[in-house]
Amino acid sequence: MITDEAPFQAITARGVRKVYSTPSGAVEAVAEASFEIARGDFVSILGPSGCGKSTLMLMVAGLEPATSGALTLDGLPVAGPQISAGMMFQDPTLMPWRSVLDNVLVPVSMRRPVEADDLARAEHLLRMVDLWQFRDKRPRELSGGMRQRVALARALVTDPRILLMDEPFSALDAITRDEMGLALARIWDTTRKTAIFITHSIREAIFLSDRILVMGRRPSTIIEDIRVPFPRPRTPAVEAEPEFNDLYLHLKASIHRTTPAMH
Amino acid sequence: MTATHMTTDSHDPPRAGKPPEALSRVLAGVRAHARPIVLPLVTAALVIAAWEALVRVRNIPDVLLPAPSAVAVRLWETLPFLLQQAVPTTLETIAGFAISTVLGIALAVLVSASRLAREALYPNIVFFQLIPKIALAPLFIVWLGIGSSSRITFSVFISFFPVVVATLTGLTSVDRDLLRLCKAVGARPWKVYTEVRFPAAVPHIFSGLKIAITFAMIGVIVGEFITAQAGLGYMILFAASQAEMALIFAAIVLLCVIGLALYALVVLAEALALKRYGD
Repeated sequence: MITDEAPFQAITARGVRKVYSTPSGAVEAVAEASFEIARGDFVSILGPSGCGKSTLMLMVAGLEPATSGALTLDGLPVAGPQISAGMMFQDPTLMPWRSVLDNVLVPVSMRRPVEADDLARAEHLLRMVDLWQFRDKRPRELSGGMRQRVALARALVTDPRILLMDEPFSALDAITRDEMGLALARIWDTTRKTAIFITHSIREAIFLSDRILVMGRRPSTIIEDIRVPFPRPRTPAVEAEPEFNDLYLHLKASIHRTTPAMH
Repeated sequence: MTATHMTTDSHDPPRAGKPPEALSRVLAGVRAHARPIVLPLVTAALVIAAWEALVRVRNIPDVLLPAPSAVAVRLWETLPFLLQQAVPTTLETIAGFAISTVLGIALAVLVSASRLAREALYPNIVFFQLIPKIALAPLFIVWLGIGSSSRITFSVFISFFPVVVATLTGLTSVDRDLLRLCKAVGARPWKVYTEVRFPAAVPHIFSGLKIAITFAMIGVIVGEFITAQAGLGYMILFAASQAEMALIFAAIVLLCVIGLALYALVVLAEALALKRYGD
């Protein structure tokens, strides 16, 4: 998996902590997070709501400064927004006044004039998510799943080195969600980008990931680091493997242990 | 012969089978669409009829309350003159509204873009709103004279605030994650304004403009009351001094028509803008 002379670890976090000061006092969003993510790994961060997963992602993206600790991307410390990161959120956050194609090009057009190469790449990505024939439509004319596929194409349009996804499928219905998981797995297989995928769906995490980090709540730290053994490319058939179920039950128990209040 | 022909035609089974169904669907469609127009018109007609009846039955003199029919007659007689008076009122309203739009949007952009401006300016803008501005009207005459500039200025003072508030709401209501995305790709702040915040604010801006257009007209009328030179506001005042009640109502009817037309233009512009910028 080491492809060139660049550092082996794409992302490292050492003792990363985040405390927000609010009018009602300091709130500790992330108590302590230390991990390393290898180049080309798909890593899910799994945890209950409010465990600081999203904050951790924003810190990796350089959109929120860490209160203490050190974060690096490709060996360089994270200081300020990281242009090398593509992002997806829970909502597609498309611009309703732009066409599908222009929405995909937003990360480019917000920074510099769009060139022929960008258009070619946007076309390639839209074909990959099966939306090229909808390129001139407005977001309001698309379904929720289609919009989130536009957001995926947009996240990849700058050919980022890492892909950061914060519960991108959690607002979708169960069937669309499964379809999106399959689409993401298929697209990821062709790009093999280092990815952080935040979710609270255990099945989604197992199906998509090379590795799963489980985050606990109070204190919010990484309490488990598991490698997912299934080979790629994966098909829905992996869910039938006994190991899948073992892993599922194990992760479920470990998440429940972190949230005693919910019993 | 034609009558027989029509009867047989309407009883013709193969044709009658479908058209009545289609016709009833069309009628139902018309009913559904006409309802929001017909219902308020019927209500208004009833009120006007009751007013007419009241004046006639109780024999109320014209100097107290003219019957709607008397107002209509007076409106018809004086229409050329009233229309002439309506020109400055309309033009000044449009001028006041246009200035309010530009000023309101500019202030909102300033206040939302600069923290210093927000902290230093915004509380004052809000406080200014609490002053009963009608009470300030005489000052404008002292400062700006009795010309149209003083009426337009007063109109602006009365109508810019809704534009500021609505635009500000729009500019700050942009999805946080979308702003994060822009920040992450290294977008310049001005680019975020022109490409994201401002387009997102357009639907909100129009809700402010709809209020502003009605306020702008109120401002001009009040200005005309005080400066007393020309315009429909002045006409109303003049007619009152002559106990010409029917003329007052005629002027008011014309004001309503102009106000409605101006409002409709803003709504039309809004519909066009929403086609492009709406969700």
